Amino acid sequence: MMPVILWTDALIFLLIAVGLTSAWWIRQRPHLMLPWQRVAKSSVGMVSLLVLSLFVLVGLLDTLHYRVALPEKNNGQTVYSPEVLSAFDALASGLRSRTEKTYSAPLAAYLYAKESLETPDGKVLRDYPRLKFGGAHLGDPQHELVGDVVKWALMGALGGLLVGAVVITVILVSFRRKPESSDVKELRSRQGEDVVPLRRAGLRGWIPALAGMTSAGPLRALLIATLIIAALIGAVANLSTAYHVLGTDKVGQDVLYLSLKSIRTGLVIGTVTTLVMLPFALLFGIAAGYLRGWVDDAIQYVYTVLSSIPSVLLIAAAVLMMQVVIEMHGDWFQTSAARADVRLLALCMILGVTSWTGLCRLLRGETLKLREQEYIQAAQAFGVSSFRILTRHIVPNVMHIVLISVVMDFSALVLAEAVLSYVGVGVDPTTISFGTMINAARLEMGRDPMVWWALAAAFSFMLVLVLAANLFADAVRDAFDPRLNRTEGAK
Amino acid sequence: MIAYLLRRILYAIPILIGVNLLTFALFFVVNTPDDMARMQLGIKRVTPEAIAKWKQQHGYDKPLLFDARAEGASKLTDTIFFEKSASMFVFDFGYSDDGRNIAREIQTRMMPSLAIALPTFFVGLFIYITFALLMTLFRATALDIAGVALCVLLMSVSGLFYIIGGQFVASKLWHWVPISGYAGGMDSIKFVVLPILIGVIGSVGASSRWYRTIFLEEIGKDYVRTARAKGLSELRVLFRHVLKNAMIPILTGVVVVIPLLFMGSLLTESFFGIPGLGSYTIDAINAQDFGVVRAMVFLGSVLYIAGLILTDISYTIVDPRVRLQ
Amino acid sequence: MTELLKVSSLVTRLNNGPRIVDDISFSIKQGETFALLGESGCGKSMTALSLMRLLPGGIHIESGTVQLDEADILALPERIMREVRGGKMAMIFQEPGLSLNPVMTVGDQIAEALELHHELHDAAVRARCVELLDQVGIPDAARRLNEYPFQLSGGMKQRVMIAMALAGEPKLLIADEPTTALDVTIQAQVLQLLRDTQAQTGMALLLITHDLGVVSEMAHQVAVMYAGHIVEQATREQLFASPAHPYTQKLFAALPDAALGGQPLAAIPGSVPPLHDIPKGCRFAPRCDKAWALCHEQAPEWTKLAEGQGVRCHLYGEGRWEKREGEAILSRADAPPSPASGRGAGGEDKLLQVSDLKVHFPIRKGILQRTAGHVKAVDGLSLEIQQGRTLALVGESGCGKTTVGKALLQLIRPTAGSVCYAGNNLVGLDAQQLREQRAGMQMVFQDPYASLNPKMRVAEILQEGMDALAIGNNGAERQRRIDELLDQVGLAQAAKWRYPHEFSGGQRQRIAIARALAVNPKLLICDEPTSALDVSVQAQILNLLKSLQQELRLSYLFITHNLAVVEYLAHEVCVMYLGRIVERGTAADVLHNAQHPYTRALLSAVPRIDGRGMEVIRLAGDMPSPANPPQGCHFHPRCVHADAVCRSVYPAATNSSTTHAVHCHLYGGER
Repeated sequence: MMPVILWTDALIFLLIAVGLTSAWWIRQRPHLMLPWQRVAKSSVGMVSLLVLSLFVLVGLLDTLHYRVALPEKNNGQTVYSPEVLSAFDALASGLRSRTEKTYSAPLAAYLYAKESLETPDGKVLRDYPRLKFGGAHLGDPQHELVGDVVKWALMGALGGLLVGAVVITVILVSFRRKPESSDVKELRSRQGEDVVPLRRAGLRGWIPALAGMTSAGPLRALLIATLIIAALIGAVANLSTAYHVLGTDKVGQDVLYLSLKSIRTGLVIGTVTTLVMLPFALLFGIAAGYLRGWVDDAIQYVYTVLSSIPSVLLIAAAVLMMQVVIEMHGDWFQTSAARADVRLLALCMILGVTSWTGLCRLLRGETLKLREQEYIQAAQAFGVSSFRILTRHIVPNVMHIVLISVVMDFSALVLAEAVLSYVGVGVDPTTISFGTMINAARLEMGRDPMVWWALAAAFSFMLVLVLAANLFADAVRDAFDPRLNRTEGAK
Repeated sequence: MIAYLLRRILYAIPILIGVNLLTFALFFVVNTPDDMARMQLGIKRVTPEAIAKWKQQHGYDKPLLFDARAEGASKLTDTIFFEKSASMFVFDFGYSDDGRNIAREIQTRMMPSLAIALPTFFVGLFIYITFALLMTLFRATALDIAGVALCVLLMSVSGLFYIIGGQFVASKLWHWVPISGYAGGMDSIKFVVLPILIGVIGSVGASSRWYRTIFLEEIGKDYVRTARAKGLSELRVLFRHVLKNAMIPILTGVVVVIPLLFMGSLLTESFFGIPGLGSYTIDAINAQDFGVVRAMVFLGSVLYIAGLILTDISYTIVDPRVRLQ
Repeated sequence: MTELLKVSSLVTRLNNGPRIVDDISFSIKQGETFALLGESGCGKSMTALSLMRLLPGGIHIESGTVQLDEADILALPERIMREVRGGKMAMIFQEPGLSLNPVMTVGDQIAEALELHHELHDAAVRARCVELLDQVGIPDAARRLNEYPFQLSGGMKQRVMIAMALAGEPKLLIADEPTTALDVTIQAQVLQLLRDTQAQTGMALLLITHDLGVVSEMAHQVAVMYAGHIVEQATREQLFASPAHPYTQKLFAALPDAALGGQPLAAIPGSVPPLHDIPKGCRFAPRCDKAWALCHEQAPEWTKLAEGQGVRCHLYGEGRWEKREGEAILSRADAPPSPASGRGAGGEDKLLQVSDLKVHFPIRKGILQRTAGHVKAVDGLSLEIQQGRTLALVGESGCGKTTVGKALLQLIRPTAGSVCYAGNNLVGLDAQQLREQRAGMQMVFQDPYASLNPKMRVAEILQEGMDALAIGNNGAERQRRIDELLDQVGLAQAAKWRYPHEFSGGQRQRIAIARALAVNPKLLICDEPTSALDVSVQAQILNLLKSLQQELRLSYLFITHNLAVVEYLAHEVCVMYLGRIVERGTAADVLHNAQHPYTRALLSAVPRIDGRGMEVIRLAGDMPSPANPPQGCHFHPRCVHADAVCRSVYPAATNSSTTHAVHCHLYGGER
């Protein structure tokens, strides 16, 4: 086995590192914690964060790539399979390997299309053949199927609930033991915020604490959501060992597997794009706003030019050109996965370049306002250098705008990927993504009976992801927008 | 004020030059015409002769920026830049790969695009603002919260879903309208109703929520309190005072897209088989017809800049502070 | 006279939150002016909005009754209430600039109120609009009808607001800090207008203000509010003769006044408690020097002292009244006398010498943005400051005084002139050379909420200047210096690990002063350092500045519009009008022997609490734009003494004594 780090993998690891560092940084500073504590008080925000983190978990598992060593050796050198797999593939190897011949409906035991079957007595008749894997254990699917599905689902849900309950208990117990730092408590009481009853419960066991908790909004919501999600995951996981829960696609691949694989692509598009554009937008935006003069003119000119080209067209043009470059240099890539990955990265960069202008403009405007602030003038009166003023005064005070726009952009980017892939300027056709799934499934719309499950699966996964992202973004915006949170009024 | 507008129009010139240089760089410098020829002819079996022939056919056989062999002014004019890029300033877009005049094609395809884009825009604007006003009027009540929740839900659904779902329900299930296609004259109505409807629904979530935010921001201002202190009813406050002031931020986002309506919508047109500029662009992208894509990029930015200027003009209409200073 | 408005036991609170207005009762008679006095955040405006039933979302009236003309306001259905608003009861607000609809003409906005409350036809509406604008003293009313608010000056806008309020012929006008956003000369005009209107129409006036001067000029009855309570109520005469509540007494004592000489002001320690942190007993107890155990435990009841006067204080409950009687109102006498008066203690060496300073901002016009003219924000200003002395630069908003401060520090590069600090001309130095001079001269800004970076700890804020100018050799030394600075400005050393949002306005201003002191400057430029603060806190800051001056022999350039502060602090005074100094001299010269008509008008426009009568000079009109100053003497369009010479020639300086100079033809040789 050889670990493989694709370009987007590296960027995701970088992103995680950045995230962890800033989390640590924020923990040290109670005033930076405050808005996050406001986020933590929003039930909707916390539940959507829970959903999002499940998506992120799948995406992360799907980011740990490797190549399997092949049994035969070449002059003593280990030879690796050209296929790049991920930790997620290993976990879901059942889903990945159990492919049927072609389409089959969700939870079906028969194929979608009729075939000529040879009966044991030699006659040939056209009928729906049994699936190789879906419901293969059933003797008489026509009668047993429904009952069997319900049984598997219930068992799975029960198992899920059990696991969920255990997880909750473990978390609660460890949560309760950790006393709140006195800083935070002081800040809370200063803010007139109620301390969650659980924390006052002391050491007298967690049952009264649990009872008290049901009164605390976000915690109760989280609890219920965790149980529901755990039951759902349990049911689906259990069913998927015996059935194709969401059916199969044209070449017989499990749609559930495809949907789960698509998550990583969506997350990469939504986050790496931001990572690519952020330095530009931040640097140019605050430089234009603070330095004014010709720097401002030049930056404004660049972003007006870029934003004056309709973004779809600019992306299309850039992607077309990028395709030509990649086609011309096939020898750059060892595996097809690496090639598809570079295309994904290039798409992120192109999306980033075309979308930094909005944030840049926002930051420029905010910096223009900030540079007239008296604390900036006080720093100027000390002769503090422009660079130091930018990093110590301006950047910390525009970070909330950056954060809000990053979380708001995420869902737009996930949706954009689907559209672009449909138009043909999105990800590589071999990359599994919501866009490629929809694109492939759309052609089958005309069939009768309709092949609806691939579309439905792609759209539902996307809806849940984007909805959770939108709701979380709202909670973040509500908590960070200074216009909505005047802790101190000058008047 | 006229000086101000003139200045904005003059500023458009360097922007368009920038767009032109950018597309030139993208289409001819990042990838040489040789690359494009190889791409078009298939990478595997391609001979230098075939490449030269393809380049000659498509007019890419000239030097990029400077023709040292030519005489006089044609040192500059007899180049790819002059013929393919600079000529776009006079809306001479040349020919597409299948040999048609792009400018003429754009002219004929403009109408179907407009037949969908214009009604979508105006019907949409009316519905979004009405919905947003309703939410503002009933702000902080269950109605408002439900409205916002609906908006968030609607904006979380992929645009592709509305199109595919709409086609499935309206055409396949209920047979209201044809799935796709287009006809001239009054016949077009049955073809455009569904795309318009879907276009409007597609952005009802994001737009209504945005307008609601604008209205709420306005309604918190001091002059609204003054209006209430006069004894005006909430409805009159909303329509006479808030709406008028909210027009300023609304126009910023709205007027700029009006000229771009000519470009049509890529998705809707290709799904519904409307022979407009949107589907033209998509077809060109899929056929990798660089000439058409280049033309559309340039046309798009010209229209965007026209939109910016229109926005400035619209300010002078709604905002006396701009008009009188 | 009958009682027009009767408020009893009104309680207004945040939904599920603290009470903002707590059990308030008062009544207003017809034709009477009732002043609601208090510092910011004590619930005055919320009381007014409760009466109008215009509370913002999230705040509601919990209990109590409001009767206006026998009608129970709180019980009226919303439809009827709309007729009351703008009809029987009208309101004007603090920020005339924000309170008018920016995209509607003045005429339309007034007409809207007229149409609502009277059945008038179009022509009649217009005629009435003109009449109303005439009534509030707007010249050329018919033309103004078609103008938009942005075309009017601040004072004009407030007049339009008043006209709009008068449109419904209200019986009660609620004025919420109607002059706070205006300059003193304009304030005098508006207050006069309110008095005249009241005399004409016989309406009652509920005046909400924080300014004791305004109260003394306007009110018949006064109620003092503190943290949601009315703590004292009395007639104006009673209140000014014998304020009963310790808070009221302190408010009087905290007013700066030249009569004090070098003595510190009686500042009230601390600040108004935040809403969610209201003390259990008497709300003023934590800041009261007369409080004892009872005050901290039990909230005092309302005690009636004399006819028309009542107070909410334990000092007067249950027979304690006699005990306190005879105590001097001026508790400032309790304060220990300061060692030496700062006055006249200055040295002779000139620390700062500014000559012919000009700051012009270009006005760009046309397609090519050519410079079409200049806003002459500062136009030929000269001044000098000696070590240990305070020079006050006085002027109304827009006269260029803030620009002067920034130009001295080279935050704005001057167009011409020289700024010599300790003998070195700062104009034209590059950034590196300037940095060497920066430690000597520092600035304290107006708004303590905007002058501290919210994302930095106090220690980081204080250290920034030391780092930039390399003060102190190492980290430990700087930390020691920070502790020392916090001591100096009266903050606990623990403060250095906190962030600005944890401090009140006054504490923030102390931090800002400490920041400036961190680099050991000799000259502090204080740009309106107390104008964003409440009176009681202002006194703390003024005391601090004064003691720092004596301790460190600091010089101050004190930029202000507040003449009372000038009297208390300044040795020399320069009066600025439209970018130029029109009069200069010692504080005594300028304040007690003013010669320039503008200075005299300015002095007479300040409302005085002692009613010390000066001849009242009302200035007409507004200050012209510095982009287009009048020909000749800049002041002539508003000057009653102006003649042909004034209209054509700018007057040269005339010295009336060695220290006193004035730019006015009245004193020059030309006349």
